[in-house]
Amino acid sequence: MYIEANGCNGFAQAAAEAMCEGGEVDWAYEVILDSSFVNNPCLYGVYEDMGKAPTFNNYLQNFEPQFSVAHLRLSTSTTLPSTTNAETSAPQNYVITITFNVNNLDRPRLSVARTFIHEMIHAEMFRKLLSVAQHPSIQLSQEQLIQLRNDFPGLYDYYKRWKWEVPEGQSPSSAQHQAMAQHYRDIIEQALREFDDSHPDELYEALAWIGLEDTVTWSNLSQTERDNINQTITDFNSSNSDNCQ
Amino acid sequence: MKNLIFLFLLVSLNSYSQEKEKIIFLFENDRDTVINSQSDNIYMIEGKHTFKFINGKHEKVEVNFNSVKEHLVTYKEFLKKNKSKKYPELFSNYVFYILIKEKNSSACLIQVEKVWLVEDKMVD
Repeated sequence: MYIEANGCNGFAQAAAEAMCEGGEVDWAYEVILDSSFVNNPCLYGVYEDMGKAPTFNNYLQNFEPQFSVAHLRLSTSTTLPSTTNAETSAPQNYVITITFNVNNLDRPRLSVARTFIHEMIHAEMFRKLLSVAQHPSIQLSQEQLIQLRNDFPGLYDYYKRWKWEVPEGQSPSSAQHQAMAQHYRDIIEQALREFDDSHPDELYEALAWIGLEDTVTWSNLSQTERDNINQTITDFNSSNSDNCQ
Repeated sequence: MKNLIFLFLLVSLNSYSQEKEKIIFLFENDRDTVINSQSDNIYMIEGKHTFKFINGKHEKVEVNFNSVKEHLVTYKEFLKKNKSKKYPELFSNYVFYILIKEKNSSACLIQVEKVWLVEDKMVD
């Protein structure tokens, strides 16, 4: 049915493979759930609960066929380094893959939910870039770069400053993390409150910083502020409350 | 009068048909990288600036290194030269080449065009 309507595109192929291997496909949002993801109660449970949270769901909806050329795939890995909670790959054949480290799930569900929304924001940034590139992967020509500047000036500005034309004396850094630290922390906090609103504000604020410690926004905090955030996160993670796995 | 009009047209046409300035960057094997795909190559110079060779659109020619080396510029010099121009429109004003030194005094001059890439993945 899907292939009749949409042709045998990269998504159809990836979806068919996932289903043959026991995975699931959310045809409405064009999200592929690998079998390893579906069969992980922690990840699948958090995904289902996050789907009920409007903020996360809005991001998910951006992958609906009428809005997007990009498709999302959720997968797992047992071989990612212990320092990695998850990774989000740039589009390959129009499919953006978020891979979770199943060895790093012995932490509170809220912490895993934090990983979901953080990776979903990366996926959203890649989706925007792909919408300009209109190519199975992201290689931008000059005309497309001008279109990126017109359509998504913020994203263009961060990539220009932190990757493409890094000013002399400044080290290249992750444009996406720099943008996330400056503009997306409120969204992360909001998504986490919608997932579980039983914690104090300072916890949501602290969790939103995780993964963004290599940014200018983080380094602009005072040492005391950084110490307080780190302590809040450490206390929460060691509380063993509502651990995911 | 006819001669004057002819002269005006000639000057105008000549200015329109002027070739774009050629910019040649040196590819250094111990510093720079090539990303290969099926038909195209992407040359990354100075660790971050990427240029694409498209098979069938661009050409590669064998040249004498010494005859070309005085025309080499660094990316920093190129940007400095264009700092008053709008980015990325400034790239339209030039034709770009990558020069790869080979054995003896020969080198390969490869026509390319600017391309902007993003990271393969975000690791958290």
